[in-house]
Amino acid sequence: MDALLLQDWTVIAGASNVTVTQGADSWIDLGDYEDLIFYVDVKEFSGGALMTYQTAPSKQEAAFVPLLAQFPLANGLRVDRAIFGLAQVPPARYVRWTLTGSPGTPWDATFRIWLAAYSFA
Amino acid sequence: MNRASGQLLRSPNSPNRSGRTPLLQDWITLRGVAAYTPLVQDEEGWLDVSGFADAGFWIDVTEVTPPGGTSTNYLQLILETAPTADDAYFTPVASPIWLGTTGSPIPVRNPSGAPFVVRSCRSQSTTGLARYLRWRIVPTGSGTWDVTLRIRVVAGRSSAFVPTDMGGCVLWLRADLGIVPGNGANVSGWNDQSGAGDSNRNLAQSTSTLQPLFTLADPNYNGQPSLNSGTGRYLTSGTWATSYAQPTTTYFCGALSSGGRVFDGSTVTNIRQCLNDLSGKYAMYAGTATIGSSQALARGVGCALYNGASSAFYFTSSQTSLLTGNPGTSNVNTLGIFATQDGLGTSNGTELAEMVIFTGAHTAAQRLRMFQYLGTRYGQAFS
Repeated sequence: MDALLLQDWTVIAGASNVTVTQGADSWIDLGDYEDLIFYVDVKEFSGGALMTYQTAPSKQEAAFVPLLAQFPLANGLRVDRAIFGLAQVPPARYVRWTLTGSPGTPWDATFRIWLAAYSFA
Repeated sequence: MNRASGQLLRSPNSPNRSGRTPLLQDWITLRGVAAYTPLVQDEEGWLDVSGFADAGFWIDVTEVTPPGGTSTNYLQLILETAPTADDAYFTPVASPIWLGTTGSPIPVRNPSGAPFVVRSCRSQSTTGLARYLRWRIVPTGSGTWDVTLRIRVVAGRSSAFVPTDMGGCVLWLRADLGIVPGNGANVSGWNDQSGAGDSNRNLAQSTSTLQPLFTLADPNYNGQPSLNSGTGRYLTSGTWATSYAQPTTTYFCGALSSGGRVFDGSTVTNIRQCLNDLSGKYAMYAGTATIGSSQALARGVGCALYNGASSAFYFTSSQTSLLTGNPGTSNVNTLGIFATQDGLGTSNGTELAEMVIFTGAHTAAQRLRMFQYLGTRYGQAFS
């Protein structure tokens, strides 16, 4: 197992319905890692935003698909699992996050994301 | 070409070589006519996936012209695997992917700017990942067809769980496997994937207007396929070669509608294990009495343990039974989906994405394993 920092502490804000996608420089190249556990630590949020973890086999925008179901941000630590042997969409080569604001309200969030990554190579 | 390296290789110098996520097929437009098909990927393009146990396929399809340009025709994209580079050994590694356009008589994947993901699977209809991977295209209908696609592989060294990994699986129905298309979006058959080798466990409905409705990518089930009873539609099996005595443990992922039933046996023989609605709650019957649980009708993952006075019903939580009472001690040897096996007590709007029957009373650990599998696959809550 290795611990990977998908996103260090950051504050992201957006208008309603706006989606912010993690910058390509920060996407994680999983290499041989097959199982992932996401730890997102949210210290503050307002307005409501939905987070999605996405994965793709190539560094190409159109190749990214949701790895897990979208979920609303909430204060505190949230743990999600993407296990190769169970997930319908298996972790591929790249992983990133997106945040989408709720309709009608601007939003912001302060968070950090760690990954526990497991390899069977 | 290196066929013995145990690596995901096409050629040592290939630009498509990229760890466990190689291209099986880069962007290509294929065109053919029925007389010269099926069209099979050239051996130079096959992938050697030695050392890997399972795979996901990112498939981009940006254009499809059905055979003859007729919307009622379609193409089948079949992903195949074989332990040796011998044409005769290739078998499907996943269910056929139907590609077509609006107007197709069966649910098809339409061209899109976004990829869809298919996984390899070990079942009665498909084999587990072997050494080589390739694609095959089979047109349905006559005339010229074409398709533009790309296929990328995500290979893994851990096997994807399937219910037959657990002992005692006597029936396994999954909506992406063993589906026999009927007319339009109807399903005329749903074949057992347990490997029991008993054709009487396969479900069928020959009357078009009674065939359940098929949804290829159901948003209520994490984009996976599902069947819906519509108004009074159902499937029935024959009489199984083996009659299984209690205890039996049945799992499902679906939704029970008011007045409906997820599954049932025969009212003629009264050999029945039934899961139905009783006053807005999930209820169980096994030849003696219909016992209501405390679980209201809802979409999710459930488990019905038929075990006489120790019968139990679990929904969302794999650890806490929501039922007290004795529904009876009946065996299971026939099956009706959305109705009894003799076509009574039909449902309006009952859904089913997957159903599995095991012999024996599953432990809490076994239930949790199955709830993890179903809940994760279909995006349903579980614990």
